Amino acid sequence: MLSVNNVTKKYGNFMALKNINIEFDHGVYGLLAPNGAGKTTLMKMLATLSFPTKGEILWDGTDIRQLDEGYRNILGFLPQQFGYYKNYSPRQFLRYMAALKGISKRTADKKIDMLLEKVYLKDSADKKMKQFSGGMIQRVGIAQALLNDPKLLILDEPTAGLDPKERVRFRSMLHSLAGDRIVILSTHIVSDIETIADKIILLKNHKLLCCEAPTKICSSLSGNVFEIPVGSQVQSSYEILYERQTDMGTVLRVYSETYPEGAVKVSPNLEDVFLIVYRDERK
Amino acid sequence: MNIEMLPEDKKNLAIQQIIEKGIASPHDRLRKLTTAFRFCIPKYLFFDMGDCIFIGLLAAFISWVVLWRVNDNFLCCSLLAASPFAYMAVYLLTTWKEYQQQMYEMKMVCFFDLYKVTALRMLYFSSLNLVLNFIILLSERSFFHSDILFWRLLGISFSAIFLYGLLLILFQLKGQGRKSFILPPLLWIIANSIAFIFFNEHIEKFIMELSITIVYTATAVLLLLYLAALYIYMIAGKGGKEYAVSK
Repeated sequence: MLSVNNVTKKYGNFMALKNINIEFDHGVYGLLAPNGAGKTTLMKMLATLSFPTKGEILWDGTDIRQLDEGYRNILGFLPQQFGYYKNYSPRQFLRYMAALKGISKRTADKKIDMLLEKVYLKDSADKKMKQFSGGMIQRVGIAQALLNDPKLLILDEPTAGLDPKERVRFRSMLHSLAGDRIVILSTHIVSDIETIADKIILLKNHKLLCCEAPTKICSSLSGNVFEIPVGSQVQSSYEILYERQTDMGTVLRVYSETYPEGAVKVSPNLEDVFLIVYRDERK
Repeated sequence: MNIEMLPEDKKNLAIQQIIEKGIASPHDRLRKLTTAFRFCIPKYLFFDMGDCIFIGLLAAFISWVVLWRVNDNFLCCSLLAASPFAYMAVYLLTTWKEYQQQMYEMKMVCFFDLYKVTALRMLYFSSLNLVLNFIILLSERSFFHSDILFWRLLGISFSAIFLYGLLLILFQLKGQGRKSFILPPLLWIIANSIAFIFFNEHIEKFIMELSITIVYTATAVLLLLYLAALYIYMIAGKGGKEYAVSK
């Protein structure tokens, strides 16, 4: 179990995160917040790339700083941005990363074959990475994060820059990765996690807003999300979320405390929650 | 007061756990070191860095020879300044390349993180520098008046390499970011330039008059300090300190 206890992170006078308390157990956790909310700061602290100004992060009751390489041995991390070796193949690169992770050559070769198949790169295993698309490079990144069969997998904005086909592929891959691991992935794209995350973590104003199952989060808006046809009278008390096309024409999706005239009540989704929670930051 | 004691098997298990987790094994650190050498073989330690090492060594060799030829009146001063050039050049180029590769975060969360990798690289670079300097001095032996001069110059050369290595590690331990790997070579060159311009005769005379025993004692002391500093750099906890190639 991974425990984040009263963690605060400051950069000089700037408060990046304040008093975060979360406990992670097996499953997929989606860290959802807009840009600049502190997602990457939290991910970096969990990955030992930076350390809290106050508070502690514990793995099975021990501070991760004390565990040192023992913690890194069970950790798999995919950073938000990373470089790659253009003139090397994924197989060569993964052999290198395996050595850095303390995996013997024999074990590494077997794992690499299995991982390249898992990330759909078996046919490109020996091609130079300068020929790869962004999505392929990302998949190599995921493969390196899985080399040491980590108990804790941290993925920082893993779908950034991927096309829709790659994002769908990534989501299905993530389903198979969860198992008995803790998987924490950060994103500002709701659709990436709404169907795969067991729990969603929302950060607002550099603090933890909630850490709940998606259905529970969505149910907090139950009865307050409606769709009204474009052209209908929109009162100032309505919060316009977005518009979408339907067979009946364009409709506005709104949040309202009262039942708008001519509106159809709809089930709130995670996108609605995201837009309502972070509406101040949209202005 | 009636205190309920643990059953024998639970008591033994608790003692066993305390021994395993509570008391550090004296062989743990040595094992970590040997494991690091076993996995981080040169092929992976210098992955995609062959060009930097080649260029660094070539540049250092040329600088060394030019300085040596130009200043044959002040052999000791030239040697003191130029001895760690190979180490300096190769380390700067490989660190620059590491920065270009933008793999810092991925490598810092590996079992052998960038600190361990860098410490091992420093060990290899300094060893390479020692060998290079030995070969150069050996090839120049015919120009020396005596064998004692050869051994004296060798001792000074090795001392300079260890001194520079020590300076580099201290900056890496105490400093932050790119300053920690740019400042040591700058300081070394500036300090030696000042010494050469203003104090060359005094330094030359001082070193020539030192006994060989003192020269090699200094070499041994600097070697031990260098190895100790390397070990601390490799093993010490970092607490989120910014690394030279981090952004």
